[in-house]
Amino acid sequence: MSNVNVEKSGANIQISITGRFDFNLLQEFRDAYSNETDKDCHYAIDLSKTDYIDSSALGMLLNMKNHLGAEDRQIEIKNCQPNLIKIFSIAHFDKKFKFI
Amino acid sequence: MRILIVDDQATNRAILVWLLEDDGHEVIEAKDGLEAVNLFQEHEIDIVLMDVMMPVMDGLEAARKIKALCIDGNHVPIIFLTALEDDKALSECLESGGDDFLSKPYNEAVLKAKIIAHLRIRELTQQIAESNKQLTLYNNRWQREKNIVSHIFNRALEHNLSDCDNLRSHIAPASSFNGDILLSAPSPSGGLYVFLGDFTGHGLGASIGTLPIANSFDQLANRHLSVGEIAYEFNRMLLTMLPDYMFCCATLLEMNPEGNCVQLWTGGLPDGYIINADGSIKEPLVSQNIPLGIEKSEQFNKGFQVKSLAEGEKIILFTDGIVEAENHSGEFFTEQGLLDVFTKGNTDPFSGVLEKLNDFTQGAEQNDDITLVEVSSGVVKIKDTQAPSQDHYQGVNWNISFELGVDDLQRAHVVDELMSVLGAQTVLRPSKDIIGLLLAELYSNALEHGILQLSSELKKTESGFIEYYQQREARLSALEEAYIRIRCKIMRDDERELILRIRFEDSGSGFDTTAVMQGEKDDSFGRGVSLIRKTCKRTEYFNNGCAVEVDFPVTRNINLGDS
Repeated sequence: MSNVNVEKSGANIQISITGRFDFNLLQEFRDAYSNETDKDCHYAIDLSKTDYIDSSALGMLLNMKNHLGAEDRQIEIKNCQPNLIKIFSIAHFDKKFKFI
Repeated sequence: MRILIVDDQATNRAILVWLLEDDGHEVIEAKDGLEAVNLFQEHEIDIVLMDVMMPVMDGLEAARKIKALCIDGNHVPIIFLTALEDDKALSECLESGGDDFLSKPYNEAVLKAKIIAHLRIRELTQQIAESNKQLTLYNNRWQREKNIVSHIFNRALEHNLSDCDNLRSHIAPASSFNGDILLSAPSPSGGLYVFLGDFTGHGLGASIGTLPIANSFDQLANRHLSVGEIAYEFNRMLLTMLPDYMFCCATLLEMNPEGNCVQLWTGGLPDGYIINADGSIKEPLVSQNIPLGIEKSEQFNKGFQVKSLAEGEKIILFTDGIVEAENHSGEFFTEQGLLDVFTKGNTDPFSGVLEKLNDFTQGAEQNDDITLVEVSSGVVKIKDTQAPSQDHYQGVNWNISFELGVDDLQRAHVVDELMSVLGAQTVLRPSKDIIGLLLAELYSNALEHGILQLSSELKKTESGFIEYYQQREARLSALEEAYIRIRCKIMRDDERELILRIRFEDSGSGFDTTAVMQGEKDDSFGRGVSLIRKTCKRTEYFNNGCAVEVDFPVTRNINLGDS
């Protein structure tokens, strides 16, 4: 099973990460959004099954945002566990992504 | 059998002796009532054949005395042999304690038949008396054991927070042993764990499984495991302990200290509900897993749901004893009965459910254990002394160091290995997650910039970002000689604050620390250092970046930024 799963329904694309979200998922994570040709897609990242992130994951998320040319708080990060929320808030990611 | 014959006429006795001894009975003779009573006390008699009219003491009085001597369920039949024939005399025989009578002259066959019949009754009575004695014995023993077991269960269930503002519960077992179990414990970060379980069946059998769960709950909570991991541990425990047909439906939740977020593991309990502040249903909590004690460990899903809670919102959990509660007409309370309570304007759903349930059952006998739990949002307040103290560390100041060689550096997840040592230290547990992150960032910096000499500049572009990690892999596998030395020390700093001082030294040739320290704006690099600086009191580089020392305040709440 892949650690990065993409579900597309209409213009909504949800990327779910299972387990550790770090540089080992670099290519997989990049593929999840960069192959999409429709520029008006709405992206959500589901972290309910993610138990670990590090700064490389933060970098990967920012890369995604830049690649898609997304506005601040346009990409959603969903179902974040409290330990991850801590890390995101230390990095002030709540200004860049929409946490729900 | 031993038969006592009582008659004042020697010939009558002689005939009886001759008759009965022929059938293999042992016969004892008495010539009047008094002698009969005395002989009865001396010998163990199975049946008495009694004349009525005798000198010294007549048969009626002797029968009364003999019956009075028969205690503890010892039934000795008395058959009167009498020449009297009027109804009054015969009824007197029975009133005095006689069991039967036979008019003289008697028919031998009838006499023998009566003796056999009465001996059979005596035997049955003896069996019943013996069974009763056994039952009494068992019952006494059961009562004693029940007291012991009750004591053990009560002690086990004391692993519960009695005084937590966020938690209300109603627990009503169907018998003296409860197959439902409700546990709560503070989490090391100041949050709250709640476990609600319902074992198959009820009574003692169902209660047994609650013991290991109750005993290990505090420990697991203390290790700050996720609800998924705790469920995994419980499942493993029950799997080895319970017979196949027994399992435990359960919901496990952990609320964060702020009380606005819960992690939920659900397995087999009826749907719980998140209730809006106005009393209406926000969301049902549908079970996501099969109950505990069924799935093999390898297949067990440690995943869990995360739900946010707004102010005034509550979580209601319950066991199926509520929906299946019966009234006097045998009707069920049903899930609809509950849902009817969860309506707008009804802001106390917990009391609402209990009132409605009472109105419904009207005291009808309860067939299953019932537990209802409410967990309210809002900052977790535990008045209990059980809450772990964060302030006054009195333990020793320890020092743990690691030296990682090339083999270690080339292995994935080395930081996890370090954390398995550090995370086990009680004093670090509350901030285990942040310390793990700190170590991971310090480790990446030492490895990537120090030893592998990778440049952060690369990470400025997206393609460079990928190249950076490609180079990392290539250089790491080509690495021949290198080390990272890590020292973690628990101590008090100049301000007497308890800190974890972490020092990293690597064999690399250093890197431009000022560039790293500044690069913490929007770029995707430099974030690691930024994370470190925001969580630590002090970050200091030495020897051109080959060594770094940070002080992490162990007992302070981490500043969570703007959110």
